[in-house]
Amino acid sequence: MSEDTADIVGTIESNFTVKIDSATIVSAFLMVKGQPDLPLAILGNKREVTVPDLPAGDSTVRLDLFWAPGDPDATIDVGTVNSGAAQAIPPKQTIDRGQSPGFALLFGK
Amino acid sequence: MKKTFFLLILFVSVVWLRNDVLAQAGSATQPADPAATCKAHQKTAILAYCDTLVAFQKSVTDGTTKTVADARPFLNKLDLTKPNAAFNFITVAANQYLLTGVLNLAQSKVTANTAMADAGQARIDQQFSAPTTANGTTSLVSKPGSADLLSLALDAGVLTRSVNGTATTISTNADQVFRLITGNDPDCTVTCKSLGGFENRVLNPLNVSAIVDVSQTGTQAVPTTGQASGTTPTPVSSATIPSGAGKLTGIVAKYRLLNQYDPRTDAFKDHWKTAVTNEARASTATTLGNRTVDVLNILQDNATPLDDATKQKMLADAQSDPTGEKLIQDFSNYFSEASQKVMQDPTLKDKVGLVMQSRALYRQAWLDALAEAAGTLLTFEYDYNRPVNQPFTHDFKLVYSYDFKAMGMVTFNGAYSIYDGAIPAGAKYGRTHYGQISAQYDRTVSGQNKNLQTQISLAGYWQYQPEASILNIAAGTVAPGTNIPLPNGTQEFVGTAGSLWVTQAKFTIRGAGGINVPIGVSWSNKTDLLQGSKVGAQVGISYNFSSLAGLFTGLSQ
Repeated sequence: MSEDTADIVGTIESNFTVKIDSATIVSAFLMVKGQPDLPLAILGNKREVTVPDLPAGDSTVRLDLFWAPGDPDATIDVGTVNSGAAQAIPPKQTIDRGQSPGFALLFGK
Repeated sequence: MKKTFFLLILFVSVVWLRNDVLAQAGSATQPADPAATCKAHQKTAILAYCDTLVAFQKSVTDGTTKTVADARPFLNKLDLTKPNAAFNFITVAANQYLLTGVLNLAQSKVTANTAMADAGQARIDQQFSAPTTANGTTSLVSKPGSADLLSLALDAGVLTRSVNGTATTISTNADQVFRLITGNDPDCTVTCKSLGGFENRVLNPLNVSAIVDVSQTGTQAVPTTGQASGTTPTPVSSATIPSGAGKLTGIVAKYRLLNQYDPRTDAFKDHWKTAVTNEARASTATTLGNRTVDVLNILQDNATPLDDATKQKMLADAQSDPTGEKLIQDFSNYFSEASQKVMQDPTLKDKVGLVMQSRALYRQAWLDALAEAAGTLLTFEYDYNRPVNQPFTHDFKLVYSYDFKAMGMVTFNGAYSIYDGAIPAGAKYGRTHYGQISAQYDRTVSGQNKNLQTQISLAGYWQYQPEASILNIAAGTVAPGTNIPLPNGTQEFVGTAGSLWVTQAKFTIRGAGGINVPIGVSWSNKTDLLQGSKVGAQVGISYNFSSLAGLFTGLSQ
């Protein structure tokens, strides 16, 4: 993976939320190669998780989802940026309806 | 009844053929449609990634995607080293293992199905035995649920009938049968090809059961050809002969009526969020995620990534061929090469198998969440009864259950039964057979969340019958003490009209793998044909089979 293929690019150690506009998140993890998965806090609307500290280079947010009947594909976006900078790279990545888990590719620089 | 059954089969066949014909017609008249181009391919790898390939092609054709950077969302779902490509890869790998008859996966599917049966063991809303009026049953009160896939029950003992028997009950879900008959993704787990409203509103909530009384033989009336012995000539025109062991004595259809099943309403959305974030259900999604990541790790270690040259070629081919054929070929070539080393990984089979198991449990959790979010309010049950030597009847029943969770479940029944067919001329009875109300309390008393559970049930039943029960006198029967044959079609009242009370206490052992053993004792003030109170015992065994399709593909137990 690299910045070219990342869905969200941010500054190292930035704190922000990753949100989706469909489905319900029941658990989420930050995956970094060679490190244990870090459980992420899910916000009240069940469609947003907090990335507390964006690592340098490639990392992945895993979203374990339940899709309600009629839910469309989910678009991945950045919600609130609490510190540093982070943005979703257009065109925004989507998670196909019915698929679980879904993944968002992050890149910290 | 037979006519209705054949009409149903005809309807299913027509729907199936129409879809097939329309699909073929569509591909013939719209060759430029990338979706039709993609679906015309037979390779599982292409079919699994069709949605992405079609979206990619359409995006290029309409000018939204002009560069490789624009194509990133699509390419990330096609590149086997990227996480969002793993979901479809697992589907492809599972299918390949199935086609090549890899035993490990078959075992995994069995494990998956057994796990589903185990998960279902915690439910006390399901009924696998024959309904109350059968000659062999352990159920005094109908429950709202039935087999999710397929169940087989053998029950001995009666509750309202005088004639004791042993009944075998086979129950299944209409959606499972439909998928098996039509071959529409019959062994699906979480990614079932949905038929939309027809599937969600008609097939999924419908369960059907057939009840066979194994202690009765099927009979057939045949014309006689002359008296073989006897000094006095006795005109007997027909006689009843056995036609087979076991007799179909009933058919039951249950339809779950769901409350507030409108995914657009805020109330449903709130219920849905509550239902899916339930700890047990959430853990099925988490386990599925963990196991998917295990396969993803193999992919990232072994698969070839999409290189820049291939990405450029895919984009250029999509731009030059709006049918999508060139793009599909590019992907097909890439997938074959990129997946070669991955498929050689010795641990892949088992890990894919575990994902399939998790997907099965996830789908069950999804269905349970849907039922909880929608609120199972009522089940409508229709019973067609074919008792021996008695008129056939139709029973219409409403079943309502309220689940107090740890405190158990209360179920209420209200039923109205009518006689089948034309009422004979001069009959001293009407169309009404009886009306009944009943209630049952069930509670899991030990082993909650364990493989071996015990459940206790207490039930009460009241039936009011305006006339006494009717007995059909078989053709050729001679009046007692005479040699005078009774005319064909003779019926006699037996027993008494009025109230029939039954109470039952039942203990059910629910074992691992979907085995249930109900043992009950009952008291009734009379039975349908006999006066005087009766104390009876009922015992049964039922088994929740794995997938219906698995039975025919050799993948089941």
